[in-house]
This record gives sequence, C-alpha cells and structure tokens, in this order.
Amino acid sequence: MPEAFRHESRKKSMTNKEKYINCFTQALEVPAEGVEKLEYQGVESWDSVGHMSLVAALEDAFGIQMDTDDIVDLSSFEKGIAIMKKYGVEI
Amino acid sequence: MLFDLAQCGSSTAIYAAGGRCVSYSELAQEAGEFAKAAGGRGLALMLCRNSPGMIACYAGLISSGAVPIMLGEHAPQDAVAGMAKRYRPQLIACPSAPPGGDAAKSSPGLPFEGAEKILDLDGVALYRTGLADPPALHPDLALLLSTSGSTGSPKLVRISESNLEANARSIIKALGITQGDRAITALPMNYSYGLSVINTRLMAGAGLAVTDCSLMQKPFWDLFEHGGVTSFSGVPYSYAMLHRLGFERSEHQGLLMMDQAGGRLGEALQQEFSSYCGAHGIKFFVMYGQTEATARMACLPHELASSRIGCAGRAIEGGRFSIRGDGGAILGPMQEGALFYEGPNVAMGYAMDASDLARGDDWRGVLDTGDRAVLDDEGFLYLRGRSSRFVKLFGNRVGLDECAAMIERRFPGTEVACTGRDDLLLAYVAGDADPKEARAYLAAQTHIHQSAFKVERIASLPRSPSGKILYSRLPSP
Repeated sequence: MPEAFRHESRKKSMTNKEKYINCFTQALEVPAEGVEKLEYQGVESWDSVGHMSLVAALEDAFGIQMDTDDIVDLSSFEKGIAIMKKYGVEI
Repeated sequence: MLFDLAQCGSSTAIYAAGGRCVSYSELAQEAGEFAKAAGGRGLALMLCRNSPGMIACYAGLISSGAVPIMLGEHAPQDAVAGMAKRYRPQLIACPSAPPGGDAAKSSPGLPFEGAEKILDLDGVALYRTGLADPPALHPDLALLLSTSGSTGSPKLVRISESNLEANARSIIKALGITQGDRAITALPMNYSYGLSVINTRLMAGAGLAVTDCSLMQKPFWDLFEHGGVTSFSGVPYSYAMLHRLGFERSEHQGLLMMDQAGGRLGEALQQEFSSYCGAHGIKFFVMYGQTEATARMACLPHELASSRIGCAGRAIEGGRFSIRGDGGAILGPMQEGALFYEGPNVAMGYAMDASDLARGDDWRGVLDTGDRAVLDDEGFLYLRGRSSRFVKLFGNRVGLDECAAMIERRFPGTEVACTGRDDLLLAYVAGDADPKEARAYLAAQTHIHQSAFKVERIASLPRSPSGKILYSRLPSP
C-alpha cells in the first residue's frame, strides 16, 4: 500500500477528538497527557511560533481555512473546540 | 537629556489595554519616582516586559544616570543569576507579578537573595540588591544590551547616551516620525530594534500603544484596531505571522507606516507588503540594523520599496557604509566583501565582565558588521550573508558557538558543532547526548520554539590536525 494512502486511511479511522488532540501533541510537541488543560503560553512550545504550527495542523487535519479572528481567539485547547464547531467540526 | 518628557505635557505618551492613557506629564512624574528611588548613577538589571510601568522605569533610570542592562522577563533564571553575579548590579527591576497576573506561577528571575524592594509602581518592582563591590562605570556609558539574550550569553553591547540620541534622531528623520505618530510595541523592549521604537517615539513626543501580547493573541489586535495605532515595526517573522493572519486581506484604518528590520525579509513577503502598503497609502520601510550600531543603520525609502526588492536601503543620516576585501582594502561598487559601517550610533564596544564597564569608546565609530554585502553605485545596500557565526531564529539572534557550548555543558562527554541558516540551527552531537533531549534543552534555554532546532548525532566531529572543527566537512543539512 502506498505510504500516502496508508496515512489517509489511518486518518479516516481516527475520531475528530483524536485528530484534534494529535494536532496539539504534534504541533506543540507535548505529550497527550494533560493536553486538555493547555493554554497559549502555558507551555514553552505554545508561543507564537507554536501557534502558527498548531493553526496549520488544524487546517490540514480538518480541511478548513480559519479566519483571522478565530486564529487569534484560539487561546486554549478548550476554546479551540468551540472554534472548530464554527467550521462544522464537532470534536 | 535624552527624553524631555515633561515638555510634551498633556499629549498622550502611552495608550494601553483597557483604554488607559498616560500623558507625557504623567509619564514624566512616574519616571521621576523611579529615578528618585534609583538614586543616581549605578548599574541596574531590568527584566523587561512591555508595559507602561516598565517604560516609565526605563526612562526614569536613564534620566537618573543609572545604566540599565536590559533582558527579557523570560530570560533563563541561571542566565539572570549569572549576569547578576558577573556584573554586580545595584538595582534590579522586574514585573511585580508574573505574566497574566497568575501569582501561582513563579515569577522568572526572582527572588534574589538579600534584595530589598524599594519601589513597587505600576506593575514594576524595583529592588536594591545589596551586592558588594559595584563596578566602575565609564562616564559615557548609558545602556547595556544583550546581543543574544536567549542563549544567556554574558556578552553585552556598551551604548552611550550620544549613541542613543544620534540613532533615534536619524530614525525619526528617515521614517518621518512626528508627534501624531503612535507605534504599537510588537517587539520586546529589551531587543535593540524594539527599544528603538520606544526611544524614537518618546524623543519625538509621539505615542506608544503598549502591549506584551504577541501577534497571535487577541488583545494585541484589540489594541491595534482601537488604540489609534499609526505605525507597526516587525522582524521578518512578524511579517510572516501577519501574512498567515491574512493581514493584507483587510483594511487597517489609521495605519500609516510599517517598517521591517531584524534580518532579511524574504523577497515574496517584501513584494507582498510593499504592494499592499502602496495600494493602501501606507509607507513601508525596509531597514537594516544591529545592536552594535545601537539599533539601525540603513533605510530603504518607502517610494522604492516595490522597485528595489531585496535591497536593505541606504545608510541613515550621519552614517556611511564601506565594503572591504580580505586585506582590508576598500572595494568598489558591486564588489562583494565585508560590510563596515561608520556613524555616531556605533556603540562603544562589548563588555564581557564588570571591569569592561569602565572602558571608553573602543570602536571609535567604526563597526565591522560581520555581514557580507555589496553596495551599488548609488550607495544602496544588498546583503549577501553572514561572515560571523550566528543565525537568526524567528528574529532572535543566536550564537552558534554559544549553543554548542550550552549542549556540551548540559551533557558532559558530548562534543557539539552548530551550523545554521535563517530560522534553522543545526547541531551535530558526538557522544552521549540524546538528540531529542538536546533539542528540547536548546528550545527551553533559548526560549525559542523547538522547530528552529535540529539535532543530529554523528560518530565524531570532523577536525583539522590542530583540532579546529571543520564545518565544511559536516554532513550537509
């Protein structure tokens, strides 16, 4: 099976919640444990650079393009769930 | 006197979150309290956060003859402690509460053993350290800036009051800053470029919209949209963030000027922002500077922003560039060589320890920038790369050798060689250090995002017979 395809099928089998958590753990390079409590600048890696990676990861994972207001509003894991809802993504 | 704050009276000096306005006379009064508490000439370590109180403290210390060493409030604790031990400051100023006012989180850099709080005003606490044997300060010395604060390097640039004044005057002229201008603090005040935004506005009697939030935070944009902001200054990474946020897709009422320094802006972004600004009546200035020149050395007039993509501009008023060959001979137009700058803003020199603070002007107005460049026949500057060993990571200047030394200290028995390019530092480790741990350590110590670092293990470092690392023989990235 080609690598890209396998990746795609793995992605499909994940729930939105799993994908959402993955975005945080990968973009911010943090363990999944405690991810629900994450806030902007709450960990070293969630600075403006980490934020750019996080937004890119979310857009990529859910096939959306976030508005400016939503990008700067994404100040915590919790807040992001409400923002995703605006784009029709239920976490 | 550098700033004559009281002279501007009731006009607004600082506008901050929540609609807070600080007039020039209020700022003068607040600065006066810091000056009074400081009590005159002496060394002061400032752990800076962009806030109205910190700006008042800075202005007060400078006017009282105190010499601030400016570091960021997030500077690693051991770097702050090392700095205090090495330079023996009599005063330490830092935010009274940790970021976000969350008292549960420990405040960085505090407490200092034996320090006595002498003033707590507008979110800034001023302590007398009680450290013995205060260093002798040269009469011209006014300010000490770190070139590479994120690695905790003790190396400082010694800046005089006439450096500060000359550079601020040239920048005010180059950008056409007037009293009606209001700049937002998008860069940290302990960074030479960020500080020059503040110095120029206070000197011109203009305004500052003050925030410590990043471009990725909503409060920054609330202030930007509602704070009467007319000008924005950013490093290349700031412009990358603006682009990501779709800044060019909207109108920005009231914005009249944008300037960029702190590294080379990619040509695509320069193209993008020069055309956006051109179409919206915003003056866009590409600039070039270094802490060793107080802040800035060159400016590209906004009329040329879109026609001279890739150009860093011409020397600011009072300054002059020359290109020198390997033997020191001055080269002609379009010949690549080492870039030198002469001007009244060239700092006095470096300091490595307290005894250097008594030194006079070592550089005598001439700076070897460490950059490679060409000048065209009209004196326009085109940068070609670095000849010295540091990289810019998201706008932060980071010494390659300092990073190597940091990993070697943390992981004894490891040898490290660092190379890099814009926004990537590559460390090759030979020995016991776990690459993943070393990478996390670099990010934590420098306070720069992990994605800027790559650490790879190799069997051994390539070395010359005399033991020098052969960077050219490292695996290509």
